[in-house]
Amino acid sequence: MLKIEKGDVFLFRPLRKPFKPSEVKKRRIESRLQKVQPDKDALKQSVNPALDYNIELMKKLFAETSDFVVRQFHFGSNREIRVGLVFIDGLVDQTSISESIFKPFMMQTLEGDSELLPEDPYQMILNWLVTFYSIKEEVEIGKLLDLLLAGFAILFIDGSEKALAIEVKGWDARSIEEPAAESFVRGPREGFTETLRTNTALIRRRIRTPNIRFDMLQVGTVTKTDICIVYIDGLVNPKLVTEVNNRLQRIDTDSILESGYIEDFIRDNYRTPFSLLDRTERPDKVAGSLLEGRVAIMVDTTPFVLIAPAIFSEFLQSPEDYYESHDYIRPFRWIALLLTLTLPSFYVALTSFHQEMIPTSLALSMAVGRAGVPFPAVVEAFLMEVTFDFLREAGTRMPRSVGQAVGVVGALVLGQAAVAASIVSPLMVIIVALTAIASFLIPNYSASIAIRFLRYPMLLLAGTFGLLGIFWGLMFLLLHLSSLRSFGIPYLYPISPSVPGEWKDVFYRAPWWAMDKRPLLFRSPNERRQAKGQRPEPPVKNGGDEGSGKQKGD
Amino acid sequence: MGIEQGKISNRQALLLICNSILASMILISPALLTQEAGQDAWISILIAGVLGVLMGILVISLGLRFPQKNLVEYSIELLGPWLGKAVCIIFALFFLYLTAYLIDSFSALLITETKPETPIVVLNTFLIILVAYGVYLGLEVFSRVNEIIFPIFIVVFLFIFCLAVPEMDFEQLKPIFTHPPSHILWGSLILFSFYAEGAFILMLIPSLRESSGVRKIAGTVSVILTVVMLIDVVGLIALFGSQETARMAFPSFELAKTVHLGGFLERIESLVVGIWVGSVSLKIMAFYYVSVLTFAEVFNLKDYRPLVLPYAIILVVLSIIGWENTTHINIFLSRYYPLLAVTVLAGLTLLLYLVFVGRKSGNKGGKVK
Repeated sequence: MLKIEKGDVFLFRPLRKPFKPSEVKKRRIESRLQKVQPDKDALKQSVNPALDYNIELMKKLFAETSDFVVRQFHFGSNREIRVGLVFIDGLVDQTSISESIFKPFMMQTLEGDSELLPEDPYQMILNWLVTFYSIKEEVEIGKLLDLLLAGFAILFIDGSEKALAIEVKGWDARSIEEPAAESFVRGPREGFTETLRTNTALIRRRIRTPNIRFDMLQVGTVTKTDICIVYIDGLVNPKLVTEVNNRLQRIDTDSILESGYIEDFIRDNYRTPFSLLDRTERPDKVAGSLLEGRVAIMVDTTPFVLIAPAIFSEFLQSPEDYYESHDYIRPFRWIALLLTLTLPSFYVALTSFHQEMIPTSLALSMAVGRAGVPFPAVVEAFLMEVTFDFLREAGTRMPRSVGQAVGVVGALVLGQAAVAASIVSPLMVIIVALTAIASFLIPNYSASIAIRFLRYPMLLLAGTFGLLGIFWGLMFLLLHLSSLRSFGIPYLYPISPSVPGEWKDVFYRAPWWAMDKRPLLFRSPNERRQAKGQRPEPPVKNGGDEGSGKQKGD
Repeated sequence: MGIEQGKISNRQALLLICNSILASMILISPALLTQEAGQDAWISILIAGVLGVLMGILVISLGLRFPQKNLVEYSIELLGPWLGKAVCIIFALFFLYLTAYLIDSFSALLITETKPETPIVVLNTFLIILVAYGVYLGLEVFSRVNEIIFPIFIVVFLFIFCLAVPEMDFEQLKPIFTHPPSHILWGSLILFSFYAEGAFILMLIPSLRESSGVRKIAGTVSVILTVVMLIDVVGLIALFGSQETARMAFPSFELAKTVHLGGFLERIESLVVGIWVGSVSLKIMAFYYVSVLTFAEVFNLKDYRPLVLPYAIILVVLSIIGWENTTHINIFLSRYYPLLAVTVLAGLTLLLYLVFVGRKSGNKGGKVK
């Protein structure tokens, strides 16, 4: 078995482009920020004791946008304390605001408790009045602004040099549903939502260890998107976490709207149709990856979580493989992968170049089928494959009701009508349909797209060079795949460099008791997953009264 | 410090050497062998196996004297800057020549067997594009691909061979020892010239990840190759007879033509060609790479990659003008190439090793230059 040294220089290697010196980067960001947030000096200053000044400043910053709410009121037995509450409507929970801010302030101080007459209204408010669990004290206007935009309500108090930020976040969010793109027969039906906090909770519910870490950072100078690096301390290689962190820090952009933005910035190689990071909507898959010693990157406002590093073989794995023990599905997926890639081109090569390989009776019926077709086999195949891709794309993007119509039309175009018009031969229709079905067997959508795209160059090669072209193409593809790395991890691992000991999760799925180690290549410092020798054995003696002395093994 | 920063494991090196010797040997040598030694070809194979082990031991002992240095660095150290570089240039040019003839003989196979109407320049360019891409990606990448392709190659070979077994008649191996020993020895020299190609590993020894198990490689390679060649040649003689085999251009390929299974699997030679594309292109990649790397080291380049494209163009031309047809290649291979390969590869290695031993005994206990 291949032993990989601990000090392998290629492990988790950084991107080739060096990081910009932080000072230069900071200056650039700031110069760009000036265009978006012109009041740079205003942001730097601290809270003014005069309430009106603060409120006016806030109003000016927001130019009195419609969802910006200011509420000023007086309280205390004699209504002598003035405060101002600022929040963004829609980002805060209205019940929380009225229950934990307005109610205590207005109701309780009504009962003229003269002892409440404070020397320091700030302390009183902090300790007595705000009945909400999460409060931050802030001095700087700029930071208050960030909090405000993150869904805090800001309470300015007249005469105080600090302001209170109360975390009354609450917005309308999608509830936890089953992800549409990754649906299972067996397995949890929860999927991530667009809210980062809900998503972290979904992970937390699955892995109850204090060692799980959710490191936050913000990317995007305008969108200020929260990004969360998730890993399990002790199971993950610290170098990997550092590398992920470095790559994320390197991003200097104004907006991150989906994790796909991040993926493009941090992938090792962009000249490839293959995706070098895995993505999922399923918390159980993320939890499984974390337990293998990998790192997940969660992005606020999207349910798609990135997993790094990724290897090619896992695009043929579905989390359901681990729940349902139908081991034979994995080999089927590998076959499907090969079929998607080469079936049409194989057909073209056989009919145009290697007719001798086709059994005679089949060759005859093929000749009959192709008799009226005016195009060479390559053109025929191209026509059909392009039609199929059009139909698939149309069906995906259409509203569901129209999608059915697309299906009906598609059946006509791809099927009987095309054959009857002798544009294509019947066998070609079967080939295209089989390829389509095979491509749906690949569980990962982005891998499936990459493979489907590669059919076209393969068709071209098969049309010009026959089988030689197909094998040339496969060799080229193998070379390309072998040259890819995801966070320094060889993409084709464990097939090449081949580690047969780890094939038990690649070509088939071994029972859980047999997978007693974490994948070697993620270099987890804690290699062993579980105790050895947990294979369930039937009792050797007293086999029971079944009559047959020998019981069937596991 | 060499140019190449990639590291390969011992098993990758082993498989790379096996593939780099076997890919063309299995295709070309059976005909040459039976031309010389008839049904006694298997004796030549055994002798060549022994010679192969010796060659392997020589190469690896030389390499392991300087585990952190490649051929260019220590030949300069041993022979001085001018002579050392001259030796390395001969080494590199030999592999350039070898690469060109491999490309040409592969195109010759394609043209005689499957694609008579395709111009040879197209096929050569087609193959060289693939090879140059692999070389450009580097040692690590193509040795990893080789780790996939070589086992598939062997499995397919054995599978086809097993399907052909029912047609074989092992009586054709008799009588034994009818050919004069000189012919048998010349046969083993032809085969040894293929084994000697394994000397390309001299450039790669510093790229091995661990130097502990390297010594075993020489023996393992020879055993694997001898077994495969024995199976192949004995099978071919039993299938076609030695005279028929000697007349064929690519007998191992003809073997695939005889296979048929269950009335649907027949004439699978095109599939075999396909798998040979993988195997032979990896072989060419290894030699191409070694040659380019040696040039880059000799001329103190920082990277070998700028040489890849010019080299490809040279190869296209050289592979076309070098040999006229299969007969030409065959005569070249059976008459001249063995002497060339043995002189350049075995000779150079032996020369360097002797100089090393001489130097060492010359200044015993003294400073090592």
